[in-house]
Amino acid sequence: MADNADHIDGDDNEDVRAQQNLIKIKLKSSEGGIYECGLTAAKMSDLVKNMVESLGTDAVVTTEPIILGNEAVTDAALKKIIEWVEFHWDDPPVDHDFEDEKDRRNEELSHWDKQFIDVDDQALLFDVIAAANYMDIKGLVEVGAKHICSKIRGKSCQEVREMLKITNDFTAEEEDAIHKENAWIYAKD
Amino acid sequence: MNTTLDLEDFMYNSFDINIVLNHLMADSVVPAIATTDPSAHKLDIDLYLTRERQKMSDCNNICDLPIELLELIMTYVSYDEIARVRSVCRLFDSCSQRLLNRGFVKVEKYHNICFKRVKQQLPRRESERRSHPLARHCDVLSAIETRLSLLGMTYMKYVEMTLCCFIPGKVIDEIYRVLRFIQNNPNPPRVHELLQELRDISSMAMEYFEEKIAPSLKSKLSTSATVMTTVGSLNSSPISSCHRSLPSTSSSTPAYQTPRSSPFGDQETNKSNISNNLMKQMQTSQNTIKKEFNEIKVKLKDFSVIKREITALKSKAKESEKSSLEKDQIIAELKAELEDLKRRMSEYDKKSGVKAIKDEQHVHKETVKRKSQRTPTTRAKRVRDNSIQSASEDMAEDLQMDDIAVAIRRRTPVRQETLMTQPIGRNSRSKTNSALALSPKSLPKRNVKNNTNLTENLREKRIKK
Repeated sequence: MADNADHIDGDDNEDVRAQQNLIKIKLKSSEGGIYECGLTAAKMSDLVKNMVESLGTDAVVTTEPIILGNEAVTDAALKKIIEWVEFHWDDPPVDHDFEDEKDRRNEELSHWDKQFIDVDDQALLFDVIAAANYMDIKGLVEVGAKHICSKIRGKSCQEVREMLKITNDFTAEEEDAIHKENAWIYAKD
Repeated sequence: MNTTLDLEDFMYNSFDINIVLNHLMADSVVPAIATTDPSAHKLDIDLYLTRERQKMSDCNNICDLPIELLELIMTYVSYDEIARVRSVCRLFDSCSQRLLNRGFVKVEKYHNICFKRVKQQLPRRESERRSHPLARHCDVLSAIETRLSLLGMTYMKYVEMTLCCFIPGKVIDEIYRVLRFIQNNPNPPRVHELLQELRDISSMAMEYFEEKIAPSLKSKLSTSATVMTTVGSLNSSPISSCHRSLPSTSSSTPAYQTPRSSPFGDQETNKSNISNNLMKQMQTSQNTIKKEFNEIKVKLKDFSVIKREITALKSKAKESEKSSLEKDQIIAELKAELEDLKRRMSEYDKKSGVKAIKDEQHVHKETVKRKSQRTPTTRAKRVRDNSIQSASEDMAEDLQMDDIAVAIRRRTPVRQETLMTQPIGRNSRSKTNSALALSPKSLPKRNVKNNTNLTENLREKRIKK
């Protein structure tokens, strides 16, 4: 089976990808939790993809799990990440053309993504984003970034501070200086 | 041995070894490793590791995320929003500043790409360009180019000196909006309609910056310059030697760092001595700087006066050069005119001199003929008349020849009056002849009188007979 997987590694065919997704690999979080994930889904992470390509699918499937050493990859975060990649494994590859990228950036999140990322625990949210960044899953980082930006948009600095639990570390003079620099925006209205 | 293993662990966990070592150095772990037993520094490193792991894992806050990730997140907000959230915290401010500066450079690049694309499609002839469907695109892009250059001149000077960032994020958004609108629309509206908002907000931002922010930045710059000069003087002064005399754990650590685990016991006394020395040195250096500054001021004033004088002299010299050039030109023109006039005059002389003489001759001949037709024709008279006529003709011919010669010599037109009144010195003929020649009308009058007398005498003789 592993040889088969090696043979069809380079194909982009959806059926092949579906077949590959049936092969399960193990991912280990920094907290020690081991989770199974489909090969195609796991390959959405560039880190895992490079590991699989360099080690060979045989080694990945048969030997020990892939260790994700970054501390942001907690058990909860890795579970969420596996959930996301298992849902999105059949997404078309992202085109990095300049104009398309801008359109993609302006696109709103899908309903599923909104529900997925809208978690009450902020620490988990930031862990997921940081872990996705470490594992190089561009799509998930984008979802997280868009979610945070939708929260920030149209809010005052104080509201942003309260929402994201940020402490104001500016002195009064520094804050005044920044306000003064931006005063022309408010002067128009 | 344990330390090397731990460091390998660090590397495996994708930590930057340099950063870790720097942290270790700063927290004075290295001297402890160098002096104490291996189990002790193993403990230290474990402590450090756990602390760092806690730091890394505690992503409870957005500020705990890596800066690159925070910047990436913020790229999903508009530049206007980025400028607004600057005052959330220091981290947000630094990220926003970087993004705004980068945003201006990016928008400039994007504009250049768009402009190149449009220019490639436009015809080379300017007359054809006006009627081309992409003419408006080109106008809009060139207007944006001027806006961008104005914005660059206003802000980038201070941005390069890291005194501020590119403050108006809204302007970047608006430029992007216009550029994308042009890219997607084959028939964009007129330039002033499309760029009204951009012009408004960019000019507002620039005016506000120049009026309110730039003066404070300039003052900041001047103060920082003075600080730099003082630091420079301090470095060159004996204080640096004082610093060098400070006890240090290793040669690589900077001299100004206070070592935490100093082997010397009299550190406090040393510190107080050094601070006193520093204060004295600072005072003296300040005084010398003030003096030097005053001297430079005076020199600058003199220099400015000399500069003004030089510029005034230069302008005068330029003016005089200009006037001399103008005069030379005028002279050359006048010379050319004169030559032209001379040439014309000579031509005119030749023509008019010959004509006048011929006319005179013709008139004279006609009058003589008329007179001769009126008077009775006797032989004697005829003979006399003929002789007079021949004489006058000779005279006229002589005159004609003389006058032509004179006219050619003088290059002046021969007038009829001069022909009538000019004395003929060269002629060897009698005065009467000359008089006749001079007044040709008087001669026929006398002849007529003589003729009438003769006819009366003849009649009387016939009657007597």
